[in-house]
Amino acid sequence: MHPVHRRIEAYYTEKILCHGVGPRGVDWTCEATQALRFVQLLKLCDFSRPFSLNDVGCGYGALVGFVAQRHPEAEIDYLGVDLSPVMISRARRRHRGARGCRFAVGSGVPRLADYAVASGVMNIMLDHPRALWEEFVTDTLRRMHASSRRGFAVNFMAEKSNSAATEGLYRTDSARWTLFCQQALGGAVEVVSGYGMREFTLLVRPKNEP
Amino acid sequence: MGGLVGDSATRDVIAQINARFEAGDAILEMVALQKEFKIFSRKHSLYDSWLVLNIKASDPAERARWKDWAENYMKSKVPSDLKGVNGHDRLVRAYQENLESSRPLPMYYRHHLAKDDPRVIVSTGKGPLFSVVDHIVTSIPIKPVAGKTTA
Repeated sequence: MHPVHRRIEAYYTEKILCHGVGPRGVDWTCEATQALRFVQLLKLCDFSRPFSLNDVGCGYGALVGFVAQRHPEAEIDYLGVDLSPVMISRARRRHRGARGCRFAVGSGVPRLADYAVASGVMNIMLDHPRALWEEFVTDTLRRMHASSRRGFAVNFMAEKSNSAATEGLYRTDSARWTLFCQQALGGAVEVVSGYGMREFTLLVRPKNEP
Repeated sequence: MGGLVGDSATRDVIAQINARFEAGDAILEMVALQKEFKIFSRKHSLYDSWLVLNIKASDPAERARWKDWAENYMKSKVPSDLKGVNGHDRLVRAYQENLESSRPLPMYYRHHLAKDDPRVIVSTGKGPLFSVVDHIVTSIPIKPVAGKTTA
């Protein structure tokens, strides 16, 4: 495992062991803010027909419960992937018997799907140098792009003006990653912002969506 | 309140409420959450709405007391500054109306002595010590209990 992945895995494993299954266990404030992020990410998906979805950094699989509530009619072939075996163990236990729902431990995305989403995976930089962290971001975006036929969605914390950076958090400018997704990945990018959080969500679709 | 909820849990929960509804990013987040999910409405109890926001006492025993206070005592025993509206429903209405208004204000939760006024009072005024912006102030009547550690 890459050293960055190892550190992330240790961080989140500690979180889930300390706080248990719930938003705090994946470092979010509450269920509501977690769900508001899902709302933005899922703007990528066309719910009018069945689709497959890779959830990168899925944690305990909160997205599964959200989709079941919000889109009960949706037919989704879901795969949640996370670096932390403890997270995946909790996810499997929580969603045992859920139809079309699987989980896997790993740093890669093990299958091609219609869509990929990642919520919060770019935020906790820890004490990694910024350049190294941006390599991790780049690598993750490339993997998501390579494993999704109809697009991927990912959120970032936006920069704060007139305030010092919060230690360990990665904040960035939407233009930087929009440009990367357009130029390096050849995607059509929609930036979603203004949803009450100092964040933005990128919806990246192929230029010629199948 | 009054002997129903422990002092430390009360301080803890009130600090959480005031942090989540304070001026700036926090209140903007609440407005967005209300718009998307209608967290505060007549369909949900105040306790459940707070719970969705992860606002709760850390001690499970105190959590049960808070629930009892919010869902039973505030509904049946505490009046409000609106005729015919109990304390619980007044608070829910205050949150909903403010968050859905065209100019939502930060919100500040505080207490006053029930012997001075037994009602839940909602007003517009100054919030915490150092704040210069207007807040919606929700003030809850309490009855201190001598010799107990509860508020």
